[in-house]
Amino acid sequence: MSQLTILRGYKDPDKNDLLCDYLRLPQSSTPLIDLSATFGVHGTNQVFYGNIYLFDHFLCFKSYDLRSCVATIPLYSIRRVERLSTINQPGTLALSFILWHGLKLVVQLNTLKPNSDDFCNHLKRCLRDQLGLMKSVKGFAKGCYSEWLVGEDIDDTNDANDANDDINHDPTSTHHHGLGFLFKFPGDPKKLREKSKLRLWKDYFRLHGRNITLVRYPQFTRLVQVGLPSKLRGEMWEILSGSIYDRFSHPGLYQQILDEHAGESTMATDEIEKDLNRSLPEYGAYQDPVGINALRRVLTAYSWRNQELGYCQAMNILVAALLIYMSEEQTFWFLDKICTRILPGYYSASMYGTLLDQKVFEHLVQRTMPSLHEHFTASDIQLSVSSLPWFLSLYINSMPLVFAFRIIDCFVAFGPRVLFQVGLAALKVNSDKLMDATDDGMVLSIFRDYFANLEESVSPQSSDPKVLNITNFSELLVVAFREFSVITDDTIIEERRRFRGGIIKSIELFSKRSAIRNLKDYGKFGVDGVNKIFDHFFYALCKTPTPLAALPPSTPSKLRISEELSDRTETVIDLTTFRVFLSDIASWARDEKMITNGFQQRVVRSVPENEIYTKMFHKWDYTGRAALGLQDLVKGLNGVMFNGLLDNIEWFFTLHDSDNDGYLTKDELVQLSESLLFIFRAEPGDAYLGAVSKFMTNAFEYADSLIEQPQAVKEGDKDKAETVKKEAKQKDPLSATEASDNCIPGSPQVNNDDPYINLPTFRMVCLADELLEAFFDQDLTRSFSFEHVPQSAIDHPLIDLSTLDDIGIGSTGLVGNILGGIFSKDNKEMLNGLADEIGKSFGKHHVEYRPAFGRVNSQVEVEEKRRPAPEEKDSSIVSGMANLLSSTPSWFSRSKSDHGRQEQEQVHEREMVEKPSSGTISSGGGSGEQAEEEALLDHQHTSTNGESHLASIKAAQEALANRQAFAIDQRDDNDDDDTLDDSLHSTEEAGGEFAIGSDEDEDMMDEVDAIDLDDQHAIGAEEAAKILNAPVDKDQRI
Amino acid sequence: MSENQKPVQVKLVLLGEAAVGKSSVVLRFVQNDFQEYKEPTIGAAFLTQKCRLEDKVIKFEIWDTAGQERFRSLAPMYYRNALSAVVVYDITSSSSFDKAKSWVKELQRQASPNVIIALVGNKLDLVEKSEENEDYLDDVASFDQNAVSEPSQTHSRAISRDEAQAYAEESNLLFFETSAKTSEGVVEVFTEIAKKIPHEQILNSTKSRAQDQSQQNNVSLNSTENQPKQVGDNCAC
Repeated sequence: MSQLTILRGYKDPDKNDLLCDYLRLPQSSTPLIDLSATFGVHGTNQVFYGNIYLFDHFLCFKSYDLRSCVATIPLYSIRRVERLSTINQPGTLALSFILWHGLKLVVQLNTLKPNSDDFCNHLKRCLRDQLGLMKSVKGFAKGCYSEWLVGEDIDDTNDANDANDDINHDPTSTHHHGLGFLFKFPGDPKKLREKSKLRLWKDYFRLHGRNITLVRYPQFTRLVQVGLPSKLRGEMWEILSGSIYDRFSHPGLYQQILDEHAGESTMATDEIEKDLNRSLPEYGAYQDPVGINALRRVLTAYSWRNQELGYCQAMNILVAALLIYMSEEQTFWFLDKICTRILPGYYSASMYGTLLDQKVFEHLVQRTMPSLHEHFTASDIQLSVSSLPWFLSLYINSMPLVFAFRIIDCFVAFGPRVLFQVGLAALKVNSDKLMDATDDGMVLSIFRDYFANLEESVSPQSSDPKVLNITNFSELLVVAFREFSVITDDTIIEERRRFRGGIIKSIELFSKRSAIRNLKDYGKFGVDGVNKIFDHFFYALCKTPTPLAALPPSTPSKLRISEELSDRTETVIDLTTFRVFLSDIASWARDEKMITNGFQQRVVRSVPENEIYTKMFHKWDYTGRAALGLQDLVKGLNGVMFNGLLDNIEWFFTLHDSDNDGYLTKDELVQLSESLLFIFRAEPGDAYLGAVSKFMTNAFEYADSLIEQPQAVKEGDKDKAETVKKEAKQKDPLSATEASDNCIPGSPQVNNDDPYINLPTFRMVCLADELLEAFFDQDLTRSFSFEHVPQSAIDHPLIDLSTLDDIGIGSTGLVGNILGGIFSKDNKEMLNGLADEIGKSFGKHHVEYRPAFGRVNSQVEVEEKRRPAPEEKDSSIVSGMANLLSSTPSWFSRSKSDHGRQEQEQVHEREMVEKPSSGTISSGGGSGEQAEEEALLDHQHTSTNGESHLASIKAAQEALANRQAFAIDQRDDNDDDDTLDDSLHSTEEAGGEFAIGSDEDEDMMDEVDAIDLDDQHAIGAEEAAKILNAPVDKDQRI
Repeated sequence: MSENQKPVQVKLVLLGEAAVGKSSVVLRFVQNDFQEYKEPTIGAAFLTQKCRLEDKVIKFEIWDTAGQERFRSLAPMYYRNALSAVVVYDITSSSSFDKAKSWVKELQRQASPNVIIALVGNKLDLVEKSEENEDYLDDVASFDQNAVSEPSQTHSRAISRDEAQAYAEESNLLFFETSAKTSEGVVEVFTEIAKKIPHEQILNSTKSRAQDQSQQNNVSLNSTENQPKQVGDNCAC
């Protein structure tokens, strides 16, 4: 049950995050400048309109039509920038960028001069900053298969670079490569048309750049969709996911991690070890130490890199699959990309990403195939039983490898929506059979059979070879990307947002249940009590800031806590969190001030500093790991909350007996008195102060007297003290004399850290005082109580509820959320501060310290200013004790202003925690707006373009007429156009020119067309309808 | 009631720490096969097996779950409505026994109230061999270093039969020690479970399924009448 607080810290991606994800940038950042521009690659005839973005390390272009052109160019790969003459278009700025591979990009900025000047200045600065990295490009590119591919017959290329000259013809010695180069790639290379594909890619690379300088053009998408050639696959995955930039910027890190942690073993490495031989065991490399060791290294290195995540089963299968196509280092960075950016939370300890996406998937089924969903509900079939493994292993262990890799190709290129689209398509294609299924088991076997037969033809009886060639797999892809083209990235983001709260809640509930179940000992609390303790525990965990308050707020501090302290199976808390925990339970452990200012009354709580927290923390640390788990807390509380008088005295004594020898030293006795004073700090009047000082005097007197008469107790347990005393005298006469100075004159000489007073004596002294007796008899035990932690506080722990509640604002449900947003910590602080100021000016400002026990008459209302400072009472303390106290630093010497400052710190700390909550709320609205805007843009763009393809529209409309209306279409009722638009979109592109294709490749491209989804230019509308009708008909029957 | 065409369906779920051999026990039972290296189960696997007990036919619907701790939150999805559960541990690993205990606890609280739980200590072959022949371990180690999937180098027994037996009796569980590799004890697990299944009750509840389908606590089995296409034996693959 670790990671609890991390779930809380989740922030929805904002506009910039989405942009950066789209552009595959390594980190999310804000573009320095963002201008509308025209973009083209020299040597091609295509020009695109879109936006050019300049980031610190990258120059990016994104065309308005999202399917057309994307370029992410690292600045270190830019060799030259030239200004082009724009005589015929005065006022505009055109630049040409010559990239490392000799590729020439032409960019015309469609903006005013000041903007373009600004752009140029930024660009100059950024390029200069990246100069140092340019040196690494050559070496890095050498490691890319694409270089070798293009340089293979270097004669017919006019490529300017000669880095490939020294490449010998065994490519494996120079470039990163997967195990497939040694152990064969899955699938028949002939059937997969590897050669044709490689040729097509080679042509593409020559024109559009490669590895770090690759520009994505429309035909690029098509080439990905037909399946990447095995030899190139690993590198393309790197480029498509952007993990290649991480690998570039962290050379050697992978090896370094391995070296640093060589020989260390953790829970993760143990788990990895168990699964090494169980990862794609049928593939040759994994029956051989070469493959097994590579797998071990990558998984281990990643468990170190991402300790929060560690290792999750299914990663072994994923990594084993990746290693066929990628080198270890490539796999490592690609895995990092998947775990942190593409599928966050999938493999985390709580697997919240997986659970969330299952929920999303289920809901998409409900939206797109309502009757099927109804059938599942009626038959009590849980879809995720089947679908969870699909998502978690990216279909790798559900389908034959050859097909799974095709899915991964698309997944890497287009993002997580592919997983959903393929899943939905699998349901749709099998919907007939699924409607007959009555339990989970039948559903599972339907899919198992289906996936096992993906290679079969859809209609084996057909006489038309073209139809015969359409396999189940191509049908699956067509349905996935065509029927379910309505599932966009935005859909997924939207759906995830919708269900996230619920998932987190259920995970937390589950954690609570299992944490409580894992308790070996409930003490005297019973289930109810233990539940309450958990609520407090969790609440404290949520609101406690990092122990290092000095860290800037942006540092993910909670991550640190759980990283350092979590032992993965159990969440534990550190001292800081423990103090907050205790302050919520024990009234003496918190400072509580009632502030009245004429407008409002509120209670401000803060946690003071004192040794006693540390003492309790260490006493309760039963397992000695410098952190407390739930069991420790239960045990600890059990030891104090059910005590009678004598138990409490003993408890308090033991708390201060740090070496557990049954004696307190003088120092410890002083500390104990300080603890008492601390506990009584908020009680009005002098009674407690007097009691403690009397206690001190008596304690020293009795202890001394017992030691003075060693003969009397020599036979008893006192002789030990005597011998120790003597020894100490011999050893350290100096400190012994010092100690004697501090003691009441005439007392024996005892070192400050020698055993001094034992429990019976201590008990006697305590019982001598009425107030102390009452304290140990009832007050101490009573001071512990489980206040009700409101459910809403657990739901929104980041909003300070004590304050909100006091001004009469509930915070449940929607209203609560909105108000929570308005009353962000900042606002509230301001509001409260303002009210205080006004109150002060009216003389209404009033602060009352709430006593912790209230035994002594507490009706004396004390104003903050007049609060009796402990120092003033020195006179009433016997001089000996005053002496002792002043010699030791304690909270006692602190003034009120110190208290004030602590409070401020506390408030400040809270602010830090609460910021994310308000951030989430505001960004949520923002990105929604943006999505709408984008949709609008897309819409306009599509319709204008569409006009030029009247003929295609007609075809599309025909196709549309044959097509069964889609459930999702009906649901969003504003979109008769939408459906049309979608078809327009595809047909419009069909009108576009298809540049690739020499004669011999035509055959190959036929296949491309057959499964191509966005462009069906070669398939007539009739044929398309044929393919599409198959699944559609099924739907009709539902 | 003992018509052969109407097998009694028994949903059975396997739980336990990762790599204790849950899938292997099932594989042995369903296909009488053993694979040294079985891919870890992601989510859960589903298999069926029919067996005959006296005059009744019982069809086990076996849910084999993923063992890693983080998959634990998924388990309720699989053990809901289960009539019986097999909690597996590895007799050479004491942590797996602790995990087994916590599974038992969870089942007793969260699963159907009358769920029949069997505690199974697997990998009996490891200790038997090492007890018989001390050199065996060295052989394994030198044969293929990577093949030793268990981190505990010495395959000595960590949980004695007596200890487990005592725990099982105290918690009211069936108890077995098995070896999926040699098949020792595997079939007995399922036979004993089959014997304990209250058949009458199931058939009755099957008939009245329509009414109490929504009640989770009821022993709800999938009706055979509404199921023209049986998953059948060919599913056990």
